[in-house]
Amino acid sequence: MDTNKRLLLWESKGCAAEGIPTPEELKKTPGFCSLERLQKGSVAVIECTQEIPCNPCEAACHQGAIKVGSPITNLPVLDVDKCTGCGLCISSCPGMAIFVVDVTYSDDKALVLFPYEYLPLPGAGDKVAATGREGKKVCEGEVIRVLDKPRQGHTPVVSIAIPKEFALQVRSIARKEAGAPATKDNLGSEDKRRILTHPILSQQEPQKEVAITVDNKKVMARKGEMIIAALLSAGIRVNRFTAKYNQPRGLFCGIGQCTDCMMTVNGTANVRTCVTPVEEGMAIETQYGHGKWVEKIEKK
Amino acid sequence: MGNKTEKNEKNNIICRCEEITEQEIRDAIREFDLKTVDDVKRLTRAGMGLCQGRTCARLTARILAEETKRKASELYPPSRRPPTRPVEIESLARAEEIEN
Amino acid sequence: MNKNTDVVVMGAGVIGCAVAYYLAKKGCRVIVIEKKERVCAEASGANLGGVPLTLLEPSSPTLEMHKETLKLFDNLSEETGYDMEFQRVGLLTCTLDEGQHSAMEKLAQGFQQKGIDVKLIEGDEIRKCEPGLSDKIAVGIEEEETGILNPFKTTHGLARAAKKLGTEFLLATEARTIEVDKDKITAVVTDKGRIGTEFVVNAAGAWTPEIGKMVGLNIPIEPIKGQAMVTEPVAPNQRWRYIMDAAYISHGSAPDEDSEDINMRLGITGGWIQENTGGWTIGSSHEANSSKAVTMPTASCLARKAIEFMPRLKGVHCIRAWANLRPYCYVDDLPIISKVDSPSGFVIATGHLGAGVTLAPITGKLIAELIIDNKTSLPIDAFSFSRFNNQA
Repeated sequence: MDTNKRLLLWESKGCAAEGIPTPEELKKTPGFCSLERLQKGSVAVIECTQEIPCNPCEAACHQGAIKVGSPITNLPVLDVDKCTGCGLCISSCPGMAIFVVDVTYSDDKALVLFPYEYLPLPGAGDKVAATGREGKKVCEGEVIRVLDKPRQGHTPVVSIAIPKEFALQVRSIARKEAGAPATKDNLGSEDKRRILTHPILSQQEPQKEVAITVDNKKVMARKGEMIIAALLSAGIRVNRFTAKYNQPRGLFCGIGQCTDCMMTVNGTANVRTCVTPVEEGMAIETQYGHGKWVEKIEKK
Repeated sequence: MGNKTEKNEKNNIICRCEEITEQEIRDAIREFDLKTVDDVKRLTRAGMGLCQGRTCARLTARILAEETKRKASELYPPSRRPPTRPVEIESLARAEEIEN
Repeated sequence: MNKNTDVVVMGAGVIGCAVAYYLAKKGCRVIVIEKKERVCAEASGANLGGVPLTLLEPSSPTLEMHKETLKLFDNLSEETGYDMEFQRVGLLTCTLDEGQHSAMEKLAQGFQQKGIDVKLIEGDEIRKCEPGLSDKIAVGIEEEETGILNPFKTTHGLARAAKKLGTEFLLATEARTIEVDKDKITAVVTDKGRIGTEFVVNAAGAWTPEIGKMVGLNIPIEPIKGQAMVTEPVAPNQRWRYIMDAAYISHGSAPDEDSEDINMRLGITGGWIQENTGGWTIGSSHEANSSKAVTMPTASCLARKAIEFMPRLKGVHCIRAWANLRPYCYVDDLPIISKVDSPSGFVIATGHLGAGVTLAPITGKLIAELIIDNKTSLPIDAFSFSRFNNQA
């Protein structure tokens, strides 16, 4: 979209303008179900309003209730009669735009199922702040179940019970407050930059913490991880300065090939930090040029 | 987004290990009528650093392809010599098989 | 192709390019033909780039050439307009053998008598100046005139300078026959055509004998494989960037294929040069082998020898190893810089073994003088072809 059009969005609402679909947009989209169907029980609500080339939801539904067809930029169409509200499609959507709503859950509560990829995951029974599409709190809720099966591809699905009147508004929950005490399953204060759940590496279990020093300052690292991970986690992005032009270098290829991430470790220069694991007490130094040769003549 | 990439040959570092710029590589190719990535390596040191061309050899091949109007695929890979990865001198010294 | 020229030089290695340059400087029309597609294709591009003054014994006839060549190198970059990265860095030649102490003293005296300022330096003193050297080093001699350079830039620089003076380089061109009429050279026939010429300079390094056969000569040159390797860049040495094992001077560099010691079989002679960019080039073997393949036993021996002298290198990584063939005159270890009696016009410039790059400028100059002036500024009788007495 060119600059002029973008400027004019200041007075617009809606998905393209603000990233938040308006009720009008949602009612027009073929994945959004009718009030009539909602009253019948658990059903998927596909809040997909933008024509982009994407169709994993189509394959995810075992009942064949979701159709995208060709071209794959088509908006998904929900066949409400086929939909059983099982929720398999929730994890399949890369845009996290699919939900399941059950207004018949109880007399006064509705169940909302949504994708949730933050850590820590809530647990059943947790009291949570239920949030709307703008991320603001709408009401209180209670976590009923958290599902994180392998087939979900690391996109857990949380179901919460909320007062029925908010069933078309509530789409997520507020994350746990920062500053929660560190536990075995929780994160240390230096771990804010860590990715703990990854599509290929799967759920990381933070290992035992070890202390290392970087330019004589103590940094906490996790046993078994590569040095560069500990450095990045501590916010250290410059590993060395080049010999010729004295330019800073940091992580580049990350696979032990380019030698940009080299540092002097325990006196040895040219150690590739992206492929070298940390060890308790390691002394890591920013390397200037080719580093220094330390007197390490071992007697064998 | 701005213009398409402007020419920045004096500042573009092609060989990150030895810090050789695009300008140096182009100059060597033009001045000595170089035809292969190996020749560029020998005269500019691009590809002689610690990573032995893992990062820059493809880039050099593309520059050479542009300068000599040939396909980059014909110019890659450059000559390869052992070891396949850096080996400590001590490890080489300890190698068991020393019988010819 | 049908051309005519004054001199055809066979081989665009460092010797061939130097010969072409010095001939062109004297106004000669030169065509250099090279089998491979590049200049500096073989041994010229596979060495450590050392230009040592005290490489051989003081009594070696090549000593004067070593002295002269360094002087030529001092000005060559400026003269050719291309930086060959030549710099004088000095050389430490040392031994681990305490029993060699008196031999080293004699060596030092020998060089001093030849006008080379050489200092004897004891092991402890060596270690004080250079903590990274082994505590087993007994004694060494140090001189300050030895140089190092970039062999690729040197060869290409000489080629380019020759080109600027009118020399033509025919790459990927192989000589097939040499035409001789009434015992005089008249032409070189290549796979790309004929070049009429009066003079042919055989600077084909390890391939010299093949060219010699074209005029019915048995040139006693055989290939000696040299393998070397280079390490990752490390912090510079404090004093000596060029270090040699003194055994080279006493044992010579031919391999002893019957020896029980593998180092002798492979002709391992320790020579180590730290490049400008910090990596250590570790050399080298002298193997009776015409293969250019890098072999593990050699790499192993080279590594061990290096650690013996510089234990610091233990944890340093080797990043590349290579090998190529040096031309070796197996009769007396000396180069051949000479015209031949028959056919007239055939000139040989080869056999430099480990001193090819080192002696390139002086060889080029001498050959040019030989061809144009018919007399040389240095005596070259010791390198004459007629010393072999066996022109088959």
